[in-house]
Amino acid sequence: MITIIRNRILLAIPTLLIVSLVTFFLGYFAPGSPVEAMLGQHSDRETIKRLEHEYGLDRPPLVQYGSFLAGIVTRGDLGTSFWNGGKSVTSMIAEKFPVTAHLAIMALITAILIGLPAGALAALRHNGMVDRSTMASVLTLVSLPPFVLSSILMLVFSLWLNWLPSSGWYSPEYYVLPVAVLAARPAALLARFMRSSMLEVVRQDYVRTAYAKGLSPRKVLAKHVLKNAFLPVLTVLGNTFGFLLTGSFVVETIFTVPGIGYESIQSIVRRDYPVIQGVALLVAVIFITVNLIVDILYSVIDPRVRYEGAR
Amino acid sequence: MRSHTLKTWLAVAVAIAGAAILSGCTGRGGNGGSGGRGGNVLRYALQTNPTNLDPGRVEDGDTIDLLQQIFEGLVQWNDKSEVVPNLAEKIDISPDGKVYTFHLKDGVKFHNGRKVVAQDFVYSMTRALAKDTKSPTAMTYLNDLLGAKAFNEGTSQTLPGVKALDDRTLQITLDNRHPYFLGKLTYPTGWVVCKEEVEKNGGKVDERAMIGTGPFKLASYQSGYLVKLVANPDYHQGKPLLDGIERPVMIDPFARQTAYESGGLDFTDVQRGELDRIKRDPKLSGELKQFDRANIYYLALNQLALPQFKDKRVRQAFAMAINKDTLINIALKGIATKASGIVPPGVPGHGSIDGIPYDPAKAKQLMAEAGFPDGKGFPKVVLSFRQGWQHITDGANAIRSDLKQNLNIDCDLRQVEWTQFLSERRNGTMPCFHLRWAADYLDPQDFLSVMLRTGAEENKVGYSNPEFDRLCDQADVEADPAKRAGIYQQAEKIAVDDAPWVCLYHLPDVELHKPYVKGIRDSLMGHLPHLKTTVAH
Repeated sequence: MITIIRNRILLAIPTLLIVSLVTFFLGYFAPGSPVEAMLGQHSDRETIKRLEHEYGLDRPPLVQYGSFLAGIVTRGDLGTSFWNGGKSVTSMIAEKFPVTAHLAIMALITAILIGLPAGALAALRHNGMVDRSTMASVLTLVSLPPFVLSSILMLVFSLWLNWLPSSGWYSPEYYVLPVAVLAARPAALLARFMRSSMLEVVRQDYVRTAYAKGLSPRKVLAKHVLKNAFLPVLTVLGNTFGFLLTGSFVVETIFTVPGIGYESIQSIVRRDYPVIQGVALLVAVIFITVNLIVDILYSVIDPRVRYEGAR
Repeated sequence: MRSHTLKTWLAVAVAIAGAAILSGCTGRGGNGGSGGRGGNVLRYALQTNPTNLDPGRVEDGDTIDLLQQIFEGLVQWNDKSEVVPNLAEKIDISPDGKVYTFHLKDGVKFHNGRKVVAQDFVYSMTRALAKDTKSPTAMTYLNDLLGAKAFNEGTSQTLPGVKALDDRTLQITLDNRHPYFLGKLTYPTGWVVCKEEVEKNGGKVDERAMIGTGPFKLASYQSGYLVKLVANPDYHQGKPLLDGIERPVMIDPFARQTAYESGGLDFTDVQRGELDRIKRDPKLSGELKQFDRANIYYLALNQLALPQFKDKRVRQAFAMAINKDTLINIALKGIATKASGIVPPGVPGHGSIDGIPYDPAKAKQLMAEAGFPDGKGFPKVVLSFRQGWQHITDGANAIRSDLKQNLNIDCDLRQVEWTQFLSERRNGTMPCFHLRWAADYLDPQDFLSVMLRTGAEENKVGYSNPEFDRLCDQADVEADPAKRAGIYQQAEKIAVDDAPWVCLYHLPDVELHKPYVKGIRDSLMGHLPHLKTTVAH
């Protein structure tokens, strides 16, 4: 177990380096500069040159990248935003990421609570009404883009029924719509995965053997079917959380949730390179961490994996 | 196999989700901001997160509207779109037009209680121009101050153009006569900030140092989320009629519209695509309001990127081929004023200009004379426009249709992300683009000399006419306002006839206002500080 963790951490270093390098150079070569974004239509050559010098943007790209890396390694400093009054990227992330994480976690829990049982029930009632209606719902939710679903829910619950607010993040009533939109697709995907996985597992010989031995259906389900069916879903769950964090960007913008998502979208439009790089690194760290946790959980649930990992 | 356990689990999950939803449902009276009708507090959205809370660095209109409630300057716009004294009670201008002496109002205080003195303006303007401040706007609006360029570049350590003669007298010296200077001084770079608060905050003006002299003070600031202001009871023009203002950040236009219609906002902008629905609604149609703005939407014909545009006949043909009435009625739902000239109505110096009429037959004839009969031999035109503004997209579609129908010219539309658009515009690589220019200050100089004079930084189409240049140079320094206006009108006639741009329309702001919102003051530059606004129900 320790070996797995150690190896993963060592592998994370080159991964993060590559992410930071690619993000940096993609931003560098993108048309338009942060100074032009700042100046708007008043972009005279002299002012652009002066501001690019003051922000260090006229230095060779490798020097700029090296300076950015040195800041992270020596001071844990991700740089300062070109906008936002020169705020440090670290403080922006520290302020806003917890909101994004809060939204993503609530969406994940909601997706799990609805998706997994729905998928399991659909598998157990294979080809019946429950199965068909669950799969129809899955198809609908997977097909609906978040901004369409957001508009529908806002129209129904905020405007027509006036039950829920259309934007903001002040108290639990404000969480409902953004969480519902963000959870919809993952819930549908989890339901589909769980159904497929369970259908695969219930056909296995060991399940038939378990019944033949006289175990009750409840025990067969709990000890043999669910545990084995859950393994592939666990992998999907890990990636789902990562995508929830990044997918929340659109939802945050629509519902005015003050997370890192909206800030990230604005930073791309404004060419705010330090924020773009900071968020890209954050997302990479999250995906690496989540995948590591998933692998650990995998080895906990499946002893065979544990045995292989211990070699 | 029985599925009782799973059924139970599913039922529990749905119950939890349902309970969560129902617990949030209170039959609400409104949403956004403080979550309900806000008492004597005006609620309207910020369309983006405030970009910069520093008056010396702010650039966008939405943030300026927020900051103008908190900060002020020597002069301001009034509701007749005139520049009038604000923190200055009297202004003397020397005969040569270069020295402005501002006599400050007595008893004006910062929000921290300290009296404002002339030295505060010296500090504020010096700070805005200082190299370390990295202001993207200071050299646009304060560049006329004597010594501004050298100070801004760091080659001089002092700014001789601004000094305090005593606590209540400020003297500003310009490098030349610039009759439009007071208009430029209304911009945030001329606003006063509180030195000790800024320096306590490490030289930055952010939410911890937003201490101004305005009718409202900052109560709370949650970035990307909500800004709350509270009335300043000691405001020098008298306490505002409102108790406060709430500005929730709502980027999505649909969210703003929904919040307005469900009672969460007191007024909001209107998207053109919503206009038909709103006009059909008996309640909402009565709440629609229109505010004229000093802008010009135009089609730029870039001679640098497409040599065929060097021929005046080609440019005039393009101008004659575009049906502005159809463009306005269909693409803009009738809410725009056809532009005959460049300078918008209401801007001092705006004159009546006949403009180039819609005349497809004459347009065809001009193209034939220029060597492109029925459009033959004329290259395909790529018409670029910025992403994200629906009315510009619709306008571009209308233009393409007219060019094909009337001149048989093929036109490809190209929607470009804004920062990339700015870069391409600066590099002069777009042959044809549809854009807006909005006034920085209400003066023809900002539309003519700044945008079209030979060699002007904003002249991105390669236009050059020596007579136009001569007239602009003359008007830029003319002391007599009436004579000045006349000279600019002559220059404008030349530019309109030369057609480096096809002047299309002037677009007002369209908003929805609840009936209980009263007293909003407005100028061509936008809404004025909410001194007289009320939301009494």
